[in-house]
Amino acid sequence: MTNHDTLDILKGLLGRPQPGVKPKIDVAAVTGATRIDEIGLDSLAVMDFVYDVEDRFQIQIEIMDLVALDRVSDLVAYVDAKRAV
Amino acid sequence: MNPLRGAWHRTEAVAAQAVVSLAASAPLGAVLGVARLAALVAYLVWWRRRRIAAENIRLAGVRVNKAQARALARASFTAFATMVAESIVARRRLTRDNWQKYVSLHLSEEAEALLRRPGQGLIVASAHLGNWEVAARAISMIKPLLVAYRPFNNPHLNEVARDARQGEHLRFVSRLEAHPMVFMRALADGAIVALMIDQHATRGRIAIQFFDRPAWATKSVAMLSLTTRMPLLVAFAVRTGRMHYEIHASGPIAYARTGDREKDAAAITQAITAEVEKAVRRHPEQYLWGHRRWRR
Repeated sequence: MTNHDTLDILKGLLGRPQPGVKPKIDVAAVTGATRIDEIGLDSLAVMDFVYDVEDRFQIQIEIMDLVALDRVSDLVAYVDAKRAV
Repeated sequence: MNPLRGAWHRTEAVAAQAVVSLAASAPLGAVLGVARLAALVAYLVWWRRRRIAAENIRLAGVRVNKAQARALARASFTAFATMVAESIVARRRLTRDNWQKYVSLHLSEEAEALLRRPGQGLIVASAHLGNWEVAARAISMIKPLLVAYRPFNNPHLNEVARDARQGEHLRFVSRLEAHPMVFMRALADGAIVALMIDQHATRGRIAIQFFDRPAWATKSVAMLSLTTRMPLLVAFAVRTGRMHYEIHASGPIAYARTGDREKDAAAITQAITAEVEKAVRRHPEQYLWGHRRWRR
């Protein structure tokens, strides 16, 4: 799997409908350079997203690592590194 | 905003600020006397809230008889006014050196160890029982605490309330204005994140049973626990006397993820709600019954 595949999967998870919540994110506009803070997720959506990422890639994201991630590309690199272990 | 509404908002905020300033400097006995009187007036005048409280008490099965339910509703009004009054007084009275004179801890051994461990992030779920404000203030003397709160519609009143509630290591963050990572960052920094679980939730919610009746609760607490894997405690401060409280905490709540996000969130939220229910049954007169908990 390439970085590009990981990014696409992450974007797919971002676009996943959440029960009872109207989608607000323009997933197509999300690139590796997008800051995670600026994707448009509220605090609950961030948690849902983290859960989904962990579940989809069968990894565990440590909280210390999570809060240090800045851009989507950092998350992609983090996920790929975790999967490689 | 409508200029009339804006003026009303500012008036409300000025009045609230005046009450806070007066209560903060007056003797406790006088403040409590005024609070009891305010509770009585509110109970008599605010008939809609009074009716909701009595109905909720009967729906929960805490009191079946109508007269008993009304009496408990009135006690609940008094408890709320007392809570507000003592919280304002606590702001100047509780210090790092003396808070244990007013508040005693009754925690599970594990909860106590987690609370005392430097750098350990903690999630605390609580409810509108006893005095959640004094609880937050006292606990923030041990570990920095960030409280997620639901803001008022009046932004000026919000400012007054936030200033009156915050402390040296006690921060209030609006659930609506919060930066998406604010709670996770606080936990990573070794702070406590405290959230209320017992209000009707309209979004990001999960179906639970409260007193054997279907209700909606926020799933934020459960999701924070599931994604950060930080220990989750359930805690309340119960009033035992004038300006005296006992903080009870149970947990950490243990739960293994299944891969089904909504199911996991529901299970954790229900486990917390069961703890809330137990505590409310023990101290029903200290619970805020006036909230429409079982809305659909």
